[in-house]
Amino acid sequence: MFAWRRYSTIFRYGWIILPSLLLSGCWDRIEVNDVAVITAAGIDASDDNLVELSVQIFAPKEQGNQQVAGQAGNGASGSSAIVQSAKGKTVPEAFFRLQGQMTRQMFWGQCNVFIMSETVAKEGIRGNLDYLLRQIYVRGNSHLFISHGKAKSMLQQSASMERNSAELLNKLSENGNILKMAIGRINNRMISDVRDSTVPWIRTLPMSKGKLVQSAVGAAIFKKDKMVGHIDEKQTEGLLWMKNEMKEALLNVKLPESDGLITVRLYKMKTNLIPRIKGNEWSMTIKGFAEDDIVMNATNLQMGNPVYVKELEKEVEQQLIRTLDRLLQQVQHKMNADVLDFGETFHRKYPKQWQKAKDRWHDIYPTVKVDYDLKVVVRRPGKLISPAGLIEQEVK
Amino acid sequence: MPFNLNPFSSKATPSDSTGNSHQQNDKDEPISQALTVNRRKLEEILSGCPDVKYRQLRVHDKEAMLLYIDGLSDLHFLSQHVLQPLLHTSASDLETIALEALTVPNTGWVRTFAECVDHAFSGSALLFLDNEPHALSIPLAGWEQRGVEEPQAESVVRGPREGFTETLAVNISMLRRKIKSPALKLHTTTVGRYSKSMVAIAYLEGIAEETLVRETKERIDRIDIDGALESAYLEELILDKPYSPFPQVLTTERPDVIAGNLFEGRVAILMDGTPIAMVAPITLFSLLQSPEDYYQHFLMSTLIRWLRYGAALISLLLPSVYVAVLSFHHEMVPSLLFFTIVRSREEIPFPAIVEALMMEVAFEALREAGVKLPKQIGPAVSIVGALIIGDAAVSAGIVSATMVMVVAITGIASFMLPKYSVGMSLRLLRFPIMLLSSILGLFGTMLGVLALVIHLSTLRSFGVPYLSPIGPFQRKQWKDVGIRAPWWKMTSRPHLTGKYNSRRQTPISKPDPSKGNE
Repeated sequence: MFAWRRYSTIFRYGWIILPSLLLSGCWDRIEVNDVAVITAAGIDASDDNLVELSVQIFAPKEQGNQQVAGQAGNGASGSSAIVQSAKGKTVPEAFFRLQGQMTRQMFWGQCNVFIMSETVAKEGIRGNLDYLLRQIYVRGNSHLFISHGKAKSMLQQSASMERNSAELLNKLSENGNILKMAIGRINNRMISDVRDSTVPWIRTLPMSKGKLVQSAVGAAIFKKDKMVGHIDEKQTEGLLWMKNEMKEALLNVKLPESDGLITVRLYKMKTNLIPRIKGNEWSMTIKGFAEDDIVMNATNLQMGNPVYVKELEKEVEQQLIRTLDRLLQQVQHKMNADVLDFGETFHRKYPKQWQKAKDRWHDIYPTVKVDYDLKVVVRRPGKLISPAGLIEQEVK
Repeated sequence: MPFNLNPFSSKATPSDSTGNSHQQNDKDEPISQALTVNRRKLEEILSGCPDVKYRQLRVHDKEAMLLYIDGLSDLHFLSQHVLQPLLHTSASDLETIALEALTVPNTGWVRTFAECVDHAFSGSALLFLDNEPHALSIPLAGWEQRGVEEPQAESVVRGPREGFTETLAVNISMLRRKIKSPALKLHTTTVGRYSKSMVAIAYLEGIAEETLVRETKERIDRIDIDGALESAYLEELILDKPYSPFPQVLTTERPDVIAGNLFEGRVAILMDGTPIAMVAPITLFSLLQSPEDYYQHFLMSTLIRWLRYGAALISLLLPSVYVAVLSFHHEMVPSLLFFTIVRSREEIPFPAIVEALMMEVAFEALREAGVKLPKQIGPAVSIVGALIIGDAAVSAGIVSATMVMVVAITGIASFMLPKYSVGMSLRLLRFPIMLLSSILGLFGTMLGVLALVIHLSTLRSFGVPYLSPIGPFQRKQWKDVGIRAPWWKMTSRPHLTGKYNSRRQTPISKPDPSKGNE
């Protein structure tokens, strides 16, 4: 008799809709308590021709230390990670078996670190990459690492400062001065013209066994989806510099006038590639600029003297050239992997020549002549003008 | 009918509900010339009302009768300024008495019995004289009343401290003290067949639109109810959309708020018997404004206003978003925060929605208990409830610490809203949105918000779109929504209510040293 009549349709259909909410099939809700949060995953090749998938899972409870829920969180004691692994013919199969062992549903959404062992990488990572990128919850920007040794052991190591090794590697990539590669990006590189890429390559330092204090980081060089080798830490620094990803670097320099070492900190480093094609000769000029500070001076030279400063700048330039030379020796001549994006640079400047040459690029690449045009400027000698601890007569 | 205090109900048939309240036979009957007839008639009408007093007296040489109601009329005043002059006067007709004898400020004439009753129950004393076809009404209303106090629900740091009382005359006088202009018009009427509550519709002539005033009068006149005890009765009877959970009039007990709204061309409805007055039309944004916004520096006011918008969103959505994210979208939380939440939730046996509902219900219960309890016990309850129960629940592992935090933040955010009524609506709507979120995740949250936005954009308060000036979009009106513009910038009245007389001050009132004469 009142306005209820107007609402009667809502009531009539409401009763049909409401019970459907109670049907279990309508609920894809999953509580936090029912998920096993994967923080990092490792893929190893095992002896019996199978792959082994290891996942590092965030442990919601402090181990060996039962606490009330409200007071948890100050997890200094005990590890907060559990590592589980399973084998299978493929990674999905291994994952399926791993899930079978678990009481909780594994969740990829918070996984930021993927580690593959060198053995797996050398056989090719295409299948694994496809599996990971195909998952809904796997993040395309999670970091990929290649481990020297088993990936599982990398996961098992505990980090001293961080909660677990996954967090350590993640933070290292986010804030640190190391090479980075996201799983989404390596896919893009593999389908580009050049198809070569670099992935951070890690191994634990021998002296810090058990604790992942700081992993030594180099770079694994990939041609298409297969790893062909790796370069060492020093060469990786050169690589980072060439990619303009370097935040800062340290160099120890020795000047002919004196015995001691001068340590300089390089920052504001920038490089440009300038390609040139003259007839059949392809060449590349690496133009670079770096500013640096003197952080230590163990010589008896007074660094207020412009002559020494000039000399220091020259010497730093020479060292940088040597580093880059060693890097190019390795990647250009030995591995023939264009990880410095020479191809891309030629493509941009000489698109027509590139279209003709791109199919035989890996024949041209080793013959590209590289020149250096570096400029290093010492900006600040620091608070001291003459070296510490020397009287006036001893200073040159 | 054991307690039939109403003199006319025996004659009124219950089915007879059309028209106004007194369409009765003997009530509209004119007063007779004979005093004895009048007395008999009145005694009949007012039978069973022992508080009605009749005083028989002789004025000069004529029989007279004074009728008043014990407790409504000021007896001291009655005897001093009415009885005494009457007994000593030599005048012998009512007109001369009114003109020469009575030392009261104001008198009036009544001609029917219905009027007699109305006047008597409003606190007037009625003087009947033999051989006179009318009676003299002497307003002597004087009863115990609360003084003017600071409004408890709307306190401000800077601003007037006075609030309305339960007496309409006092309230109108407070309003008149703020607007000393004949443009302030009051249209009074009574509402309630039995309560006969006095209602005043206040507006500024020349500023308020006539159609709005007419519409308000019509809506009030349409009301036919047995008794209206609070302005909420009227509110529910004059709304545009009675089913909407949102308040469509602004309620306040501050005369300054009423005055401010009158300047913007709105209409205020004051009612006798309650300190709560109403303002119409309003928008959602005017409900999120506090009177203090206009008394503080405009920069602070703008900041606080945005804080308040944030609080409104939090009080509506925070628990829903938390439940949705925790039940569906684990990847949306930053890793470290997520691990902290996981750890705090590890021992909790309930799903997030149950936990949230439990805490929200407990919180609402606590708040309700705190309001109902005497002032001395209230704080104790909140301490026991909030601190001890909350802490115990967390350490017992029934609810997680993060959930307690979410509920507490939601609670504080809802306390930040300056108008209790809109806070209540958001509190109410929080629950359906929470349920939707627990079923469909953030998609459900968005569905809830969408439904809300659709409802809000169809809502109108006395014809003014509820979401204006955002929908319909009016950029010029944003000076009082996105920011609180300084007073020297508020040169025009709000478009939808004040366009009739849109200039509110000269546009050059910005303080500037070059304007001085020195």
